[in-house]
Amino acid sequence: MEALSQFLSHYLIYIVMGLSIVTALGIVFSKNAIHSVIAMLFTMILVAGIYLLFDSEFLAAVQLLVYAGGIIVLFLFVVLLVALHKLENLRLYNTYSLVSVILVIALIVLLGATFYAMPFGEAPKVVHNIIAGGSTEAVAMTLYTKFILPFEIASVLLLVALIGAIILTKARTEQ
Amino acid sequence: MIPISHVLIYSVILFSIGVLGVLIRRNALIMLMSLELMMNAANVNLIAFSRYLDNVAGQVFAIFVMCVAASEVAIGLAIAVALYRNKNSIQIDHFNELKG
Repeated sequence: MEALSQFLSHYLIYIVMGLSIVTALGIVFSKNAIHSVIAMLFTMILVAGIYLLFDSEFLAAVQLLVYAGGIIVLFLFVVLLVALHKLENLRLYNTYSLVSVILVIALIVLLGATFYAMPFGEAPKVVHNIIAGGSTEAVAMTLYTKFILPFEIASVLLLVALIGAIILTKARTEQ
Repeated sequence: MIPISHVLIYSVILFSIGVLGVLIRRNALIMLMSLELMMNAANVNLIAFSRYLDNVAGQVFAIFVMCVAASEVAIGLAIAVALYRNKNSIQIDHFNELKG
């Protein structure tokens, strides 16, 4: 039973990674913007699964709430708001797409080879600081003691973004 | 656990797909989604190193990245809506007023 769960957890992460790469390609290459949004939803859910497999339950939950619950809905509203059906006959890609694809493949090969050759150590079998099965407490302790000032600054940043978004989208009543 | 170099290579691929989306697409909304993809690739790295170094700080940093990503999306989509109202388009090469 131990061996089976070891095997499953070892190969499950490769399966989730492969699926998320496929859905990420779906974001970039789908013709319809709604299909891109749906592909992004699946990508975010799969990335949350990767977090779960790395013993970060709290971050997986936050990923689902913030991305799958909030940001995707926001994207969906805007995609429906801007009437993309009028743009269907236009070109999807830029004129220099081929150069971009070559550059991106070069980036993958260069960085991939670098990371593959780099001697990283073995993964620890047991984690103490990230308590397996309950990392929320550990994250909260670090966030509210060591990182309390960045946390407050982040709250101000979110407030400013909220007010800015409202002002930008507010229809002009005068003029 | 799988070797961390595999996680890094996966995150390079995810990041590069995001770069590709920003470079080749003409739709501003798809470009914003590709930006989100890049931030997620960075987050995967943070979480993986947090697990491998047994240090919670990586997860806290990932929370901050998500916070910045959320505010960036709110502002970016607001700008997209404002641009659509003015120019009736969100194709990125229709916005060329600053061209000299």
